[in-house]
Amino acid sequence: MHPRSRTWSAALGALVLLAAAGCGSGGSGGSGGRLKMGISVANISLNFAHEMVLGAESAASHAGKVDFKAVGPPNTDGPAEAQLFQNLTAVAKDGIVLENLDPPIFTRPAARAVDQGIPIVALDTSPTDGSKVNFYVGNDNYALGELMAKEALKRLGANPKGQIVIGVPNPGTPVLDNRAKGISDTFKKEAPGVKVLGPFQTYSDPGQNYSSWSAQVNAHPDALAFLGVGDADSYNLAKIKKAEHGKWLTAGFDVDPKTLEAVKDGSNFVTIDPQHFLKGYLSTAMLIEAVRDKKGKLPDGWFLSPGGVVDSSNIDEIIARQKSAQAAYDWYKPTIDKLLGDEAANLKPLKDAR
Amino acid sequence: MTETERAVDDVERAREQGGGQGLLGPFRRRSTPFPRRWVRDEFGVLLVLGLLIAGIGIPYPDFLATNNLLSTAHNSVYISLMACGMVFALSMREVDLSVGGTYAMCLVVGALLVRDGTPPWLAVPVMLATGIVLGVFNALVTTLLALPSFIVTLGTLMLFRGVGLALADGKQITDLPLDDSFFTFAGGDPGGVPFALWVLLAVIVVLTVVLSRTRFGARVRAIGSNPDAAAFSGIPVVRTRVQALALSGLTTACAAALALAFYGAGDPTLGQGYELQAIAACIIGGTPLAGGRGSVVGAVAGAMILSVVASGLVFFEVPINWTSFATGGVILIAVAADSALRRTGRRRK
Repeated sequence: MHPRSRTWSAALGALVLLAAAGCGSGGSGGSGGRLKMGISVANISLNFAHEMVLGAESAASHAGKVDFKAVGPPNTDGPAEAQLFQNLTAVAKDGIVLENLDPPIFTRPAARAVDQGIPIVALDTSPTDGSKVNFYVGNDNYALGELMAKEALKRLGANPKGQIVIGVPNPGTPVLDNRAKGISDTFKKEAPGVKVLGPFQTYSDPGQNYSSWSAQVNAHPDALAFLGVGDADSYNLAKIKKAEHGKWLTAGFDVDPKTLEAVKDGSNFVTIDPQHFLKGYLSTAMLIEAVRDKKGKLPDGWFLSPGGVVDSSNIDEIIARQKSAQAAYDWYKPTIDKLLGDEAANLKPLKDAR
Repeated sequence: MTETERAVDDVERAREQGGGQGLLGPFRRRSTPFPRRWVRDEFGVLLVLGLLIAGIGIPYPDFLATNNLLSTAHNSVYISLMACGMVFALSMREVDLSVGGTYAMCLVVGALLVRDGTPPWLAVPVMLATGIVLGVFNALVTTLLALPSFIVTLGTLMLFRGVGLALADGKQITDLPLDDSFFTFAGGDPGGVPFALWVLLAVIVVLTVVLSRTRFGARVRAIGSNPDAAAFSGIPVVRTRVQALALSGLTTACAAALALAFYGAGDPTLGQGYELQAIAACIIGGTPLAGGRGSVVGAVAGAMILSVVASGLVFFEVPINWTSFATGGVILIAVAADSALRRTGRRRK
C-alpha cells in the first residue's frame, strides 16, 4: 500500500474507532417518555461535587426513565465548566441542575438555556440577577458558619482571648463567603476577646490549599484556631496539625474520607456537613417532578436544604453512610421524604438566600 | 533555499530597494505562491479538526446543532487569541508563559475601570494598552537580564496574576452595567454569530498576513530559524523580540476584553493553565518549539481541536471521572494523525 494511503487509512481508522466507541452507547435515549437531564458541577475531583452528583444520579435512578448526564471540569475552572454546561444544554434538553463556584460568569449561559426552554435549577450557589433562574436549592450557609463558630467556642472555654484564622478557598463565591461571615460575626459577637484574622484565600486545589494553610500556620503559630470553609481546608488542616503537633483547633467543611478520618482521630474537632448528597437528590427530584407533573414549571424561591455537625458523637454513623450511594440514600430517606412531602414549608424568598 | 536564507534574502532585497518600497513594501508578494503554501501547511490540522467534528457529529447529531457548534467555537476564542500571539513568540524561539496572568490582570483592569464609571468601550483601549505594556515588560526583562523568556515569563505569570488579585482585592468584580452596548453587543451574537468569533476571524486574517507577508514576520521566522545568522545579517533581534512579545500581550488583552464583554464580571482567578493550552494549540497547529516557522491558522485550529474534544466528551457516555483520561487520549490521537500527515507532506517534497 502506498505510504500516503497508509497514513490516510490510519487517520480515518482512528476516527472510525472513536465514532464506533460512541455509537454503542450513545443516541439511544429520548424515546418512550424518557427524560434527558443532567447536572453540571464546578470540580469533579472534589468531594462536595462528587456527593452532589451521586445524590442527583440517585434521584434520577429512583424516578426511572431518565437519561442523566453529569459534567464538570477536573479542576475548578469557571469558563471550562461554562463550556461544558453549554454543551450539556444540547444533550439534556429536559432539565439541568447547575452548581458552580463562579456565579457571575454563568449569568448569560444560564439565561440562554432558560430561553431555549430548558428548566434550570441552581444548586448550592444562588443564581445571579439576569440568569433567569428562579429556583435555588441550597443551605443557609451563614447559619452553617455560625454552627462551626459555636462548636469552636464550646471547646475554647469561657472568655477566650487570642486570634483565629479563617480561610476561604474561592473568595467571591457567595456560598463560601457567607460561611466565613457566619464564623466571623459569631466570634465577634460571642467572643470579643478573640481577634478574627482573614478570611484569607486558601484555594480549592488540594496542593495549593496545603501550601496556603502551612503559610498561615507558620505566620500565626499562637492562634487559637484555624477554620476553613471548604472541602480541602478540612483535611489539609488536619494534616498540618498532625505534622506540626499543633495545639490549635482545626476544622473545615464537607465529608471527604480524609476529613472524616481527621474527625475520628481527633485532629479536627468537627466538620460541618452541608449534606451535598441530599441537596443533589432534592434538586434533581424536584426538577423531574416539575417536568413530569407540572409541565416544567419549577417553584420560585430558595428551597432550604439542611446541614449538620459531624463530631466524635456521630462520626461512625457518618462513615457508614458514606460507604455507598445506597447507604447515603438509606440514611437520608427520612429527611428526603419529610422535605419532599411538604415542599412549600421549606421554600423561602430567593432574595433571602445566603 | 532554507527558511533562514529566504528570510535573509527578503531583508536584503528590502534594504536594497530602500525608500522605493513605499508603504506597501513590507507586504510585497514573496516568490513562493501564497495559497499553495498555506494549504500544504495547515491542511493536516484542519483535516483532523474536520474529522473530529464528523466523528462526534455522526453518532451524535445534536453536536452539530448550530448553537452547540457556535458555543464550542466561542469558548475556544480566548485560547485561540492567546495562541495567535504565541505563534510569533514560538516562531522566534521565545515562549510567553505569562499569558494567563496577563489575561487575568487585563480582565481585572477593565472590570475595575467599568465599575468605577469609565464607559466600557473606552476601557477596551486601556486593556489593550495594558497587554502591550506587559508584553514589552517581558521582553525588556528578558533582554536586560539575558535570561530565557521561558524563565522570565514564568515569573511574570505569577507577578501579573498577583497584581490582578491585589487590584481586585481577591474578589470577583461584579455590579457592572450589563445593559451597556459593550456587554450586549460585544458579548452578544450580532448576525447570529458570537461577536468574539468575528473578532477572532479578523485577528486570524491580519496576523496570518503579518507573519507570512511582512518584514516583521520574516524577521521573526529568520531569528527562530537561526538566531546567530539573523543577528550577523543585521536583523534587529532585540527590537523584534519586543515587538513579538508585545503582540502576544496585545492578543491576550483582546481575549480579556472579549471575556469581560461576555461574562460581565472580572474574576482575577480566571485563566489558570491557559498558557499551556495556548502553547499546546500552537504546537498542535504546526508551530514547533524549535522556531523558524509558525501558523496562525494552525494555532487556531489547534485551539478548536482542544475545545471540540472537551465539548464532544459531553455527548459520549464517558463517566465523569474518566473525562480527563479521554480528553488526553483524543488529543494524542489528533496530534498523531496531524503529525503523520505532515511527515507524509515532507516526504512528497
